[in-house]
Amino acid sequence: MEKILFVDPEKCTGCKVCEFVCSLHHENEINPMKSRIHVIAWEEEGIDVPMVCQQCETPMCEAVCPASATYRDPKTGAMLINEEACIGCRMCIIACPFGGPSINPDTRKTIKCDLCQGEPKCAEFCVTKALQYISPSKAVLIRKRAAAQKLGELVRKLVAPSVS
Amino acid sequence: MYGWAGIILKVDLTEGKIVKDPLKLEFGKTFLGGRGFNSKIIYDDFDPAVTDPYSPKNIVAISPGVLVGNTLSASRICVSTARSPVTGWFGDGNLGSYSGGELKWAGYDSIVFYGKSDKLVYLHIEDDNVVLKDARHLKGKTVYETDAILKQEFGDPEARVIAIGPAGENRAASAIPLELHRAAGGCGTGAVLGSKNLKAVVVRGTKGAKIARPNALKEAFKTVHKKLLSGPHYPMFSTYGTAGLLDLFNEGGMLPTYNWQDLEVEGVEQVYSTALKEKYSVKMIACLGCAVHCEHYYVVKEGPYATHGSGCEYEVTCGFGPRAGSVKLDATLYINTLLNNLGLDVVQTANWMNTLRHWWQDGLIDESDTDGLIMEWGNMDSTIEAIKRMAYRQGTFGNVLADNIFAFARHIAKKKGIPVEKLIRYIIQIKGMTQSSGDNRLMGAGAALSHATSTRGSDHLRGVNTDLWLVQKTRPEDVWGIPKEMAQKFLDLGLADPGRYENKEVYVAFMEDYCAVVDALGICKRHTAWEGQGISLEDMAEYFNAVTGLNYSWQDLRKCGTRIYNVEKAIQTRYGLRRKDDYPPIRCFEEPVPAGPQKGAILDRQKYDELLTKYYEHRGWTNEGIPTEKTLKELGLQDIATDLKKRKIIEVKK
Amino acid sequence: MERIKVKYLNIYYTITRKKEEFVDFGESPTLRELVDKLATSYRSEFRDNVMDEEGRLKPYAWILVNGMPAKDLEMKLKDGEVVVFSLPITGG
Repeated sequence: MEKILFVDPEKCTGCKVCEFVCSLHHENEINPMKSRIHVIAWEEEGIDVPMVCQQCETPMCEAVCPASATYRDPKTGAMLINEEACIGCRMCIIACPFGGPSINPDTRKTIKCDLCQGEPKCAEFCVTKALQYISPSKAVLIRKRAAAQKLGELVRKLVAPSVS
Repeated sequence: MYGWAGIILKVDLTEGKIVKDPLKLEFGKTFLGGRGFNSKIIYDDFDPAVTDPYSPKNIVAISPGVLVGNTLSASRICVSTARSPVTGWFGDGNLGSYSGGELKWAGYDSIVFYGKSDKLVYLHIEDDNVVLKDARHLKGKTVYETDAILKQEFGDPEARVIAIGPAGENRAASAIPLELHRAAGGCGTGAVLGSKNLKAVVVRGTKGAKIARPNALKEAFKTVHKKLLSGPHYPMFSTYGTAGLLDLFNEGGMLPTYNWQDLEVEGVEQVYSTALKEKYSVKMIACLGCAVHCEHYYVVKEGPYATHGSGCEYEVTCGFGPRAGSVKLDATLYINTLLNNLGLDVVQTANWMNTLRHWWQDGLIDESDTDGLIMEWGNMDSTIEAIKRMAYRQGTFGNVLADNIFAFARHIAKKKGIPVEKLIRYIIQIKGMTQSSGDNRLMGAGAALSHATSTRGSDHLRGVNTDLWLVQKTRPEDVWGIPKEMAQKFLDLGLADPGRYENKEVYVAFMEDYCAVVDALGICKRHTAWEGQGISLEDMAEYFNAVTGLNYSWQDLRKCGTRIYNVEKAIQTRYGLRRKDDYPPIRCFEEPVPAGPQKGAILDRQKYDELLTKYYEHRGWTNEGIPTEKTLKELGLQDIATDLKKRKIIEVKK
Repeated sequence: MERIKVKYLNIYYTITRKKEEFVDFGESPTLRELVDKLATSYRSEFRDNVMDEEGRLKPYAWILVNGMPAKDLEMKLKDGEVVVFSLPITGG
């Protein structure tokens, strides 16, 4: 199975290194408005959430595009935008439940995460592993394991005190 | 122009006018940005005859470093003022930020505030739209409240706010501006902004930054990022932050306690960073573009000090901990959040409170002088109340303390008929700035020199924090973050011995220039050699060149640092500061360390005198610490030489 | 018997998950012998932070013996002494 860009918000520090490297890689600029990924933060609560295209199996962007400008990358499974075909109507931005696509401020057409042809820069530079490019089987176990850790401590105390 | 946004905003608060002054490339190439811009602008635009920090003629300059918004590891904004209400001299402070990026992406390299508004205002910046707006509804609001209100009014939660709190509005001298918990600490720039009726700056920039050599920057990101992560201190700072330094200081017998009197406090492990991590730290958070994420987001769930907030560093865990005779970590965190909301500096406020405790200990003040507050060691409740009264100038005690600790000393001296020098001796300070970090008797002779000659007053951030950093290094490649030839030179000169005085001027001058470069580029010092981390001067040159398209060597960058340092020294000489002001606190020469593995340590007066003389020679200054015309000319500062000659500070040879 | 008290700060605490422990030797050990003995209980990161491939004390390994940084690994330790594994103080 193709890898996925897995987001673990609890690990995000809000540094926005991902926004820097994304915009530099794609647009040769440092500009969060041209980054395909954004960190949304509630600083007073210590919450940071990276938001990026989830490369859905049944993508809403594809369903609403009147110009048939979306297509699937066979190598990575990423949903891509054919820039020439895109008419800049922004229906994909309205339809996407995650706000995945953005508007390129220069061309006024849609830009979105393309997983950097299989070597996503954001994941490469993310030091806390809030962003990882990993197989789906690994990804689902990360969250399960983190939650099980808390239960595991309780189990160790109740069930197997003699072992520890 | 690449790297620089191209505009300096000059805001005349008296007239309510804003001028967009085009930035000359030559200015950028010469002074870089950040602290470099601020210092030169203040030199040029401020009349040193003005002595009152709250005069409308005082200036506040706010400049992100040139690399902010352009590279990783660069988030810092420098906030400088010509006359600090803490020290009376030139002062500044840097804050790690997100707003620096927004300011650059909106199109501005600096904001300079002149004059005074007749009503409370804030500066609204939204790309090309820059306007002063009515802030009367923000009067009395805390930093966090101001942040929330302005973001909502702006209509964009991505907008960033730098604000003063009630302490700044009330001109409490240690008041500072903050972006939430990110503080431009030290010199009371918040009080100066308060005196100008400037409540906040709110900024949003969407233009981004074009890069001259994007492929070079992509490569530089990879190599420098890797270096940063593999640096020896990375695991510590990314997990424990600088709060981890308290543990080191204590185990190394260097932790200052009880207002720098002693080195021990019972129960100290309750304030170790391990305790912080176990009990209160929820996660680590970062500044813009920073992979070190050294700040804690903390929550104290219950008890009398229940609180939450961010930014828990060594200076607060020590200053409102062992130096206050306290090991109540929850109280420390409560105070940290309080200071961030009121808009007060941690180091100065902590030292002032601890000085009061020290006077109290020795019977020099009592309840009649503190409006009933019991300023005993470890009493954090009285501290909390004292902080609030100072921020709001409540009662005689709060009102006088808000003028600064020296004003309080003079007040007590007059009231009780005792010589003011007797009281001032308790204040551990240089040029009016009270001490941070460690004790000058213990950190090495170079560190003592560096703290003493710092151009903003006692400071560990201006040059060398400790000579201990060179101990155990035998090869230049062991010394992270500085050019190998400099590392080789330091080792050849035998500078790996902290107790040695000879030749330390070479190391101190270099690190002072290095820190000036770091502050002008806007890079976080914690990523550099100063903190034993990986980013070197050569890496900074690589970033700088990739962004700007220029071709600076590390030596070119260093020269900019030397230049900036000389501008600041020249500013200070215009105020009458001379050799006698470049000394560590007097007790460092008179009182040996009372306990610990370095018991008996003391600074040698004669050796320090000789070192200071050598330092001035090395710098190309006179024996009174005045930059010579020759030195200034070599740095391209002929205009400053002319000015100093006109003022008869540089003697004109007949 | 020579009993040495060992304390762990910051990254060493992260590696060992202990704040302190006591280590016993028949005779006065060198610092190297202490490190070698401790390294058998902890993952390789412990030794890697203290020594380089040639077994020399790493420049950023700050091992305090009774509060003073050790210059090398050959120094002898005595009964009752306290050894702290840490990083050097740098910035602030």
